[in-house]
Amino acid sequence: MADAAVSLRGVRKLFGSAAAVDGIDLDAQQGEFLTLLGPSGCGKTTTLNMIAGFLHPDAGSIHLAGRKVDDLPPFRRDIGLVFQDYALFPHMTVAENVAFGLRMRRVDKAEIAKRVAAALDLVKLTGLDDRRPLAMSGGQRQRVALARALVINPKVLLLDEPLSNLDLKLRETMRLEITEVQRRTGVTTILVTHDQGEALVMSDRIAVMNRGRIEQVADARTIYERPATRFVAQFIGNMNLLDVVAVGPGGGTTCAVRFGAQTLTVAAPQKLEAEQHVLLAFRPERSTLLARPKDDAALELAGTVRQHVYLGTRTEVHVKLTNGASCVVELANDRGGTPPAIGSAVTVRIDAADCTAYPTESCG
Amino acid sequence: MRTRNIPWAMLRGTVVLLYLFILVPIVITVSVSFNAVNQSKFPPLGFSLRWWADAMSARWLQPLAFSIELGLVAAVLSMLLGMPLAFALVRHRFPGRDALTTLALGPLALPALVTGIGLLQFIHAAGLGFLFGFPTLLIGHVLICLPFSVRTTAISLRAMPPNLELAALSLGATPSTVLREITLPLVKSGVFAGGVFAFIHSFTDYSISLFLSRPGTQPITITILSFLEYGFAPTLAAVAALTLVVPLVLIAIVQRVFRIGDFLYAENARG
Repeated sequence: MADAAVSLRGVRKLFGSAAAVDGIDLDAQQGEFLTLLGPSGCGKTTTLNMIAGFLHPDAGSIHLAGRKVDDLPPFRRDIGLVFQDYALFPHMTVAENVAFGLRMRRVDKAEIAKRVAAALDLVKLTGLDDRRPLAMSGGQRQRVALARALVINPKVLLLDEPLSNLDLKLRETMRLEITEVQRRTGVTTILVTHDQGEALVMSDRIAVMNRGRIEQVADARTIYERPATRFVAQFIGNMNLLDVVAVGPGGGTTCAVRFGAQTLTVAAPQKLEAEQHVLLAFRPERSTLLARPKDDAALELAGTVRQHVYLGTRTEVHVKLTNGASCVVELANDRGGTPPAIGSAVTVRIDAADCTAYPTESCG
Repeated sequence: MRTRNIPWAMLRGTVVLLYLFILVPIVITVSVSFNAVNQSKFPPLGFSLRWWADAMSARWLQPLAFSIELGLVAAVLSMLLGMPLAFALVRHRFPGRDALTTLALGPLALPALVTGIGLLQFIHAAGLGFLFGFPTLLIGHVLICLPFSVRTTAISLRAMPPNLELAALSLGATPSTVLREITLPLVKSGVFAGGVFAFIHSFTDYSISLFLSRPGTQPITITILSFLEYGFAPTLAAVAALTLVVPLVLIAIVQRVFRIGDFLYAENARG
């Protein structure tokens, strides 16, 4: 097997006595776009800083393109780094900013000019060579930062929350642009973000981090549709959680669970104990509303409509269940259909295939 | 509309008053120096340049040159000492950091007279009396100028986004290259602003110089002070006008070359 472009083995970092990164293993393949996604304080930025060489792991090791880099300072690692605040050199022009990394590598002048022009072309900033970063918009600055990081042909491109300082519309455009530039250059890329939308749109694979550990590494679809842990299930998108009882010991693949008089077999990625309370998770948009129960293989929950939340393309219907719990059903706003009136009795129906059971205590 | 303009009018009035307060004494001093009589009359009686001729004599020009020399050397030294000190204080946490901060900024809070007496005692006690004159003046002036260059350099350092240096490192710049190409150019305006403040502070100081100078090596302030014992002559007005020109010329030059305005309006210097 070819060496991974980036490879982390048992990497740990302590701040004081607390582990910011608590022993993670992670591989990014050549040309892959990998995202570290997680809430603030989950250790994703610390991980990035260790790959960049700004922090030294307390345990474990990091390889870039098959080479152990633990003892290499940042300036010998051949990485491209894009910061949230752009970090452009204010006393240099755009061209000088982009040329900086090449100048440090003692590339000759003519070659620098050629590569700077190509890099500015790549990020659609042709002709802005002589501008000062301060005279540019946030989006333009971020493109300069991207060009500056890419022009050195780094072994890996690290993006540290690169879009957080931009407004919503621009952020959505830049997501696609960065993804396109990455595809075209084929540079192995690691993105750090807390924005799940960004992660879902941009990544080949997503590593969801929580409390210094990686909870799941998978492509966007798997992360969203088959979250491996309760944390992932709750962190990505909206999720209904229902208290049910595991019928028999199970887990790893599937497990039978009981809710009231209904029993059904659902996915269960983690181990579950018999007769223990477990959490049944299902997505609002995979649930439907019925006027009365059908009594077949699906899970059916009786309740009353409490609230409508109109979201343009969809409407959220909040339902209070007869056992006191509540859940949300998301209905597409296609022509004609109106959600059941507030106060009306309904049945929430979810296919067993759209349910996943998790241990109650697994939020860590 | 009228009522809403009242605060604005008050602000303008205050600014005008403030400028009058600063400028009127200068105008009076300068015009007094053109008196035709040996009296400090305002408005001047007649017009003559004799006091200016007086002021241009070696008696005044020599201490003036001495003050400029002392101020320049003191400013350069306090810039050179203040820069590493500011780096240490801003960038590092170490035992004794608070003590060092107090030592570096202390002379700003202490009356210069106290510092002067203290230095005088110290130099005598240390048996360094043979240094009296330029060397002792220099020590004293660097001491009182240091807070300015430490302060302004520290402000520039703090205003610099920390990621700039990390970005340069990631692009392959060694730490010494980062210092030379990124950090120093970006704190330059703060360092030179500190240098200007230091020069002006040294140039206008008399309470330290009072204790540390000796006849023959006197800064202009001390020369003026001793002359005042015999009363005020229009010559003094001319000399005072001369000493006013020196810092103004310096600020103009430094502003042109090093853009200390970037420091004073720090927003423009950020990334």
